[in-house]
Amino acid sequence: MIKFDKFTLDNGLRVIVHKDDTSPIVAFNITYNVGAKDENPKQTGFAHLFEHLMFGGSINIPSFDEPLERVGGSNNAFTNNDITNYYETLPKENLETAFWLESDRMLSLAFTPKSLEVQRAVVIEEFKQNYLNQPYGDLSLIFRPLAYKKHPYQWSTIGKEISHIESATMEDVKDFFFSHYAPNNAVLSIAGNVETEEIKQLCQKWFAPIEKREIKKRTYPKEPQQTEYRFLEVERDVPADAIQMGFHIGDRLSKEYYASDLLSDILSNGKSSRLYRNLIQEKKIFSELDAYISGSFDPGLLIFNGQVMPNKTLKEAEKSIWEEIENLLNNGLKDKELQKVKNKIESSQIFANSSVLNKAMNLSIFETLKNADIINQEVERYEKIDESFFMENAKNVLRKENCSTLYYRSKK
Amino acid sequence: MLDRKQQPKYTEIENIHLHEPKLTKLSNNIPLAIFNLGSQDIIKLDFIFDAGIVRQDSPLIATSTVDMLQEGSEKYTGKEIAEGIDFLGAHLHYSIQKDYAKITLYTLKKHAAKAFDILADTIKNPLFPEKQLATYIAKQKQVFQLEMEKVKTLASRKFSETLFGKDNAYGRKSKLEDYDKINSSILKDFFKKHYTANNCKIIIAGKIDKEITNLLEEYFSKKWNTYSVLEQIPSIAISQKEKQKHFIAKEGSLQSSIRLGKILFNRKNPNYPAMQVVNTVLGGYFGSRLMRNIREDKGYTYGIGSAIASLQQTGYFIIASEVNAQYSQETIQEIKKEIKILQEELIPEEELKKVKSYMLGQLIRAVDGPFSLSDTFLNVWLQDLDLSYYKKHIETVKSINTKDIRDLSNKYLQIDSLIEIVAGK
Repeated sequence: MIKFDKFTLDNGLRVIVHKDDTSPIVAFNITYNVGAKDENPKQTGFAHLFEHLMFGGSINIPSFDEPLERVGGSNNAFTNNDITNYYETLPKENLETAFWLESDRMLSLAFTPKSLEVQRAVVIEEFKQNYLNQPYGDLSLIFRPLAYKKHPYQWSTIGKEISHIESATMEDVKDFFFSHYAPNNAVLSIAGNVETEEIKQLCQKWFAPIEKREIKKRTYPKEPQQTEYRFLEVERDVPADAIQMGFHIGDRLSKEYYASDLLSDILSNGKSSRLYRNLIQEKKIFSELDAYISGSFDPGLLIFNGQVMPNKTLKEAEKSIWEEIENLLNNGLKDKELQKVKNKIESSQIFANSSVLNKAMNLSIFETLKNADIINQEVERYEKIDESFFMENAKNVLRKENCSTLYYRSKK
Repeated sequence: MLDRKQQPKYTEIENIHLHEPKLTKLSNNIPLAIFNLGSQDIIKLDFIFDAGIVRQDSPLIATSTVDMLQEGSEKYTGKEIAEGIDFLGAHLHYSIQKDYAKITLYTLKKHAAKAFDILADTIKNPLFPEKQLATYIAKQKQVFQLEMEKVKTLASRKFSETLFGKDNAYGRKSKLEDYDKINSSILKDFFKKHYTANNCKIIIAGKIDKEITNLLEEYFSKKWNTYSVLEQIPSIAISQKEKQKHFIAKEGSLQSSIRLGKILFNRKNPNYPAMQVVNTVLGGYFGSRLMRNIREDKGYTYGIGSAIASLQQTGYFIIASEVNAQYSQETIQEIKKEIKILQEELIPEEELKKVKSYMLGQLIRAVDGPFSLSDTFLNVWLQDLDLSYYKKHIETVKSINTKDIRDLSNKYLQIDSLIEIVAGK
């Protein structure tokens, strides 16, 4: 059980406080309810570029990192399709520095031309390093629009293409900030050796003076149900063929999501998993093969991703995955298989609870999703999935009409 | 009136609590370090064997041996090991370093007995089954071929080879053909020689009580008395007579991978803590000279950093980055410029103060909680030091001055002594 207190400021900022007196470090986490899905399809990569700009100086403070380093703090951030998340860890005596820094950049960024210019270049290098200059780097960029035809999940957080980032203007940047970054669109979560009363006071001092803003309403389309199998083939300069297959699943809080997560674990989590033992070890069709879920807030995907051994074809590889699926759907689960993956989930939770940063982040993200207390309900939601619901969901998800397949062929 | 321009009052980091381990031995004389702390009923158990890359006669033997431990043992098939560990929600990791091999188990305390049972059999009685070995080799070959497409890998390998020399275990590169030379019998020999009770050290961290230490005795001490005398590792003859600049072309690269560096010294050298400060100023954190110039000012890269590494016999200094391929030469020039600045000018007092706080903050994080603490302790224990090394580290960080930074930069970072590797365009 993770105990916490929660309160909301007049300006809409939700605050969560979790006391953990076993660490000298406090974790300070802010989640803004804005992600790549909030972008204009002609201006993608923006939320992520923005995350970089948040480090370029705020209205009263020219440098974010320096004052934090001065107090022995460390920080980082990430963006995904749903949220943008910022966090600091620092010695508890110096917690107020985090309040000062984060509240100022919530108030307003400095918006200097130099900052935009540099971060644009940095993000372009990131695009190249992770997506263009790596073998298989662009696979996810190609796959998304295959699986998503209407929903903004069709583009990746890094953006559809470099040109979108290249053409971002200061006007665009300011507009994005003021329509998404606001106390009423954020959750603050603090975990460490702190008291709620002291946090309340610090919030009053630093965050309460920031006014509410009007947040751009979310009007993006839902993804319509996929009704037929989709297929795409590309060729690239890579050493081996790769395949990716994606199946639509339920949204983050649906019962189907939890069943799909267990399904992906049974398929490929750990060396005793079905895909590892049957398709890598026994049949030697793949050198790597993973099944995982995307974890997104809106309905996501169950993805199979693998690299094929040189003496096997992509057709054989795909066929072998369908055979594994058929085997599961027709013959059901083996003894203790479901319990095994539930045990893994329970164990992960307990290990995660040993870190103040993990706890602060999870509380904040769950609150953004719906409410922070979900952190304490997760294990039970997984436990509740019985074999019959598991199979019902598996049968519904792992259908051909629900599948998008990408053959990523090696030119060699 | 709220003054948002002024940083709130803060305190300098005065004391860092270093929770000392209990140092003891199992009845079969295996050194054991125990960290009993933390809020959760979890355990991390590390086995360290003198079976690192430095012990192998040919490439890949040390890595293959440690990786294959989990693929089948006397009591359990590879499948049963995986099933058993997964069912407990536990994790087993096998890894290789230049100087040692490490096996790590993470488990909930309530499952310790079963987890130790499985782990023990993989450490004491592995079988190196032929079928699983063949699959492992085939997979590793695929991975190798993929890695060779990455500029980062090409640069790293060339760096090690140039730094240490082609013909010793630290610098020797593996080739695709080396995979086909691996067989069960070679690995069994390596195992018999190096994975003995007398060549082992154990660190355990988490909720560690009498029940757990009894289990350690039960599984890792009773009747485990294998013994082997390992010869003194020949001194790695490091020569930097050869060409110090290398370029490896990679068609179609958008980025080039850059490595600069040199042989330095390890943690046993009294200057090591001070050089860590110099390193941090230059390239050891986000606000470093290298990051500020090459990423934040020029935008050439997503990341650039420097580090000093401590090995058993020596240590080295390295600067690494993947940069826009158009700017590889400019990047190298800027790197050299930054080193020169440290050698000629005193850094501002404010900057040194900030670096000190940052480093002390990093140390607090590195010793926070049983798992981080055990990793931090491992670094020093293997070099026959203990946590008191960090007291020296803290003293040095607190007392070092700007003149020391300049002097050390001159003494140890001579630009002409740096090797240069570029892979890409």
